[in-house]
Amino acid sequence: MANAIETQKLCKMYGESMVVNSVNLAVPEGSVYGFIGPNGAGKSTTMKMLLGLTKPTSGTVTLLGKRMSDPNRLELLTQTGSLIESPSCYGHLTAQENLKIAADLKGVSYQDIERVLRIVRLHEEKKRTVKQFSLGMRQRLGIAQALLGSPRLLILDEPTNGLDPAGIQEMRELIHSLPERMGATVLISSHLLGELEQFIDHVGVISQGRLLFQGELSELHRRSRAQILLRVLEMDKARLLLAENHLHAKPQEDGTLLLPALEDEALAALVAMLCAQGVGVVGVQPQARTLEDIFLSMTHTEGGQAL
Amino acid sequence: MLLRCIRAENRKLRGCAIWPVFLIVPMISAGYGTFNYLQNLGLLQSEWYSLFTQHTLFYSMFFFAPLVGIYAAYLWRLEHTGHNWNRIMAAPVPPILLYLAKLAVVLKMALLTQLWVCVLYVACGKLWAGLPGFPPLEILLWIMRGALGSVAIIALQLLLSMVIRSFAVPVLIALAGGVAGMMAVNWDLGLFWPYALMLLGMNSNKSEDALAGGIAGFLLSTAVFTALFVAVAWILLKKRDVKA
Amino acid sequence: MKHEIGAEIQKGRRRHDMLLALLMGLIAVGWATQSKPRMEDELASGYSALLYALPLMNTIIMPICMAVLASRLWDMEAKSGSLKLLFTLQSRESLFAGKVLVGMAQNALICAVEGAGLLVLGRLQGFTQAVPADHLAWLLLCTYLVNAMLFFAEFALCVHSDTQVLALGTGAVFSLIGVFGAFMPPVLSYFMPWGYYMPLDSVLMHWDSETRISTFEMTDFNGPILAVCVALMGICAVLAWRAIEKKEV
Repeated sequence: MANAIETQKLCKMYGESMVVNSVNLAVPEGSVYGFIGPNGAGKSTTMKMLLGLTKPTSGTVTLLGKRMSDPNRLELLTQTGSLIESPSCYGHLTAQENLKIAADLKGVSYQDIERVLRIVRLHEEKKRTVKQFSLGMRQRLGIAQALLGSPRLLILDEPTNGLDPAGIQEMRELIHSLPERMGATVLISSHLLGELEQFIDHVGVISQGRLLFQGELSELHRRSRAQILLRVLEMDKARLLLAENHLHAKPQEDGTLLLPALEDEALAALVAMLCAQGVGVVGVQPQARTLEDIFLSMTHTEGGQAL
Repeated sequence: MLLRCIRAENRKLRGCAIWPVFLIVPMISAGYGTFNYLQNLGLLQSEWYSLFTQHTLFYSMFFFAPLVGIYAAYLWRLEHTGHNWNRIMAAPVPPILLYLAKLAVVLKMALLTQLWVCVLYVACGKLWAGLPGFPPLEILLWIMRGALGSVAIIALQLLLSMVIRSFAVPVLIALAGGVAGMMAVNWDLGLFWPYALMLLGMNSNKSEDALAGGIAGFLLSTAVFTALFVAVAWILLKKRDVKA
Repeated sequence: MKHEIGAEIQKGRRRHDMLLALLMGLIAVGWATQSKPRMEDELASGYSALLYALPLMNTIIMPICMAVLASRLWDMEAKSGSLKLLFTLQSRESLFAGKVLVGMAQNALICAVEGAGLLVLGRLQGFTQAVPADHLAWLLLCTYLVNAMLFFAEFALCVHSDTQVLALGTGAVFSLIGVFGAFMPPVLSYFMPWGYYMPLDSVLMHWDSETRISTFEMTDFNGPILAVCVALMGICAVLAWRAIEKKEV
């Protein structure tokens, strides 16, 4: 599968501080990619560099198979829709007029305006000036602007930011329906993994400017399955036996062994084997981790040692 | 309660780049005024009085209103952006206090400016132009009257900037108001036009006191206009929906 | 480019900026109605008197007006946070070009209103002087170019700071210094480009303090100062473009 977005060693420095540090993003075509990290991790800066709004200090950006440069930037971006931070709309104009401006600049026919208004469910409010809109409605208008002209690539930065719970739910449903409806690749950022978990298939985790994890969501899920804490009397013998069974056991500080996640049958067989060999099994305890735990452990430690 | 609002308004102004303008404009005015006075001693023979007109004519005719307009626009701008309206209207104080607090803050600036004009006037007169004696007390009264007349202009600009959610348009209105004010004074209609009150009070365009014998009319006009603008602001703040 | 300009015009809806420009022209014309020539010799030099008076009015009004126009054009982008969308859809050049085009159209409207107002005033007040077409054209050209220089300068400030205080504050200071420059020896006024309306005035006034009569004299057009003005306008335009080019979003 080709990548819709690729970056190579993307870096951005502001003064002395490295805001984005050697990020190699790979967003497969047709995927819904969740870009996750705490506030100030470098998500917005990375996304701005993808759009050419901010110039990278070093590194390159490849969009839809073409390396982005100043001359071809706008041409590439005609196939891209974006919403960065807060929506960009003129308060003195109506929703429809705001979309006309975006349509003019994108070279999209005005007929498309009605379609995107329907998608974000603003078609009944299109004649109202935006200054009367609630934050949630503005955010939806921002999405509508991004959807104009059915772009192949959507880049949405924290589209649920500042919304109330109902607004977040609404936005979530809307974004959830986009890949089916539009067949586009979607890159969406958030500081909460749980918010995106239900509809993304790929994840990138960024913290302090570094990309700590990138891959399929299922891979992250696999890591989240319960690891097993084993307490035995004969520690060394147990490790030897486990190694013979191709199981890597991590000795813990408190004298226990940490085993990777196992299916129930495999675990039962393993315990039976250990008992039979007389290592003295004292306790078997599953260590459950949620995705949020993984995310937190990744982003709270320096340089991704947690993985 | 009002004091608390005024303190809040003062705090909002920290880091605003506008006060140097209030410092600079009277200095330009004074520098030019003294220079021009010394160049035209043949025509300007009323010493301290002549110097006063040279110092304050353009300032009170055309520039005071736009400057106050910029200031008022800045204060309201803070509320117009960033959804502050919701917060303010939800704050546990009557909305009109917000307006009055802004009025107090701008007025403070205007008074300081008048004081600065006064200091520059005396300093330039004594040290640069070498005028004999000290300026007549009457002129001190004019400066105070000017400050009084400015209240109506400030109240109007704050009202305009509250209603018009644009930074620049109220400033343009202030400029137009100043030009119209000059015309109104020429037609002896100055008391019926708020933007003319500052000019009238300062008596910047004549050596004789234009308000001699008519101070009551001036006071009444200032009071009526100010009350009118405050009342309109009060009604609007009460009636209008919150639009963030 | 057609699309970009269409978008810029669309943005101007409900902002009434052309109306503002009209009003700016009318402030000057309204002010000019103040002189009411009645005597025969006054009517015979009516246009000269107006051509002499307008530059001073422009010196007072226009710096603030140009700051207002520039501020209106940029403020809508600053307030709506739309740059991060616009810069993904159009080049910075085309945004700059759109803004300049609209601003210069407003400037042209102001000058046209001044010119038309002057002619109407002459007709209404029954001037007996023939319209000095060349001097009128020169006045409008000079007003347009000095305005343009100020517009670019104020626009650059607006883009730099995003708050409108700086632009309008400098507008006010420019006009104040400009007025004073007008009454200083001419050499000094050369150093105050924002007040170039005055040294570009092609009409001189002689005032006889004995007879209390003013006479007007048409002089040569001050080409060198206009050239300086155009050069400065170019520099200000480059500064404004640089400000947009460098703008971080």
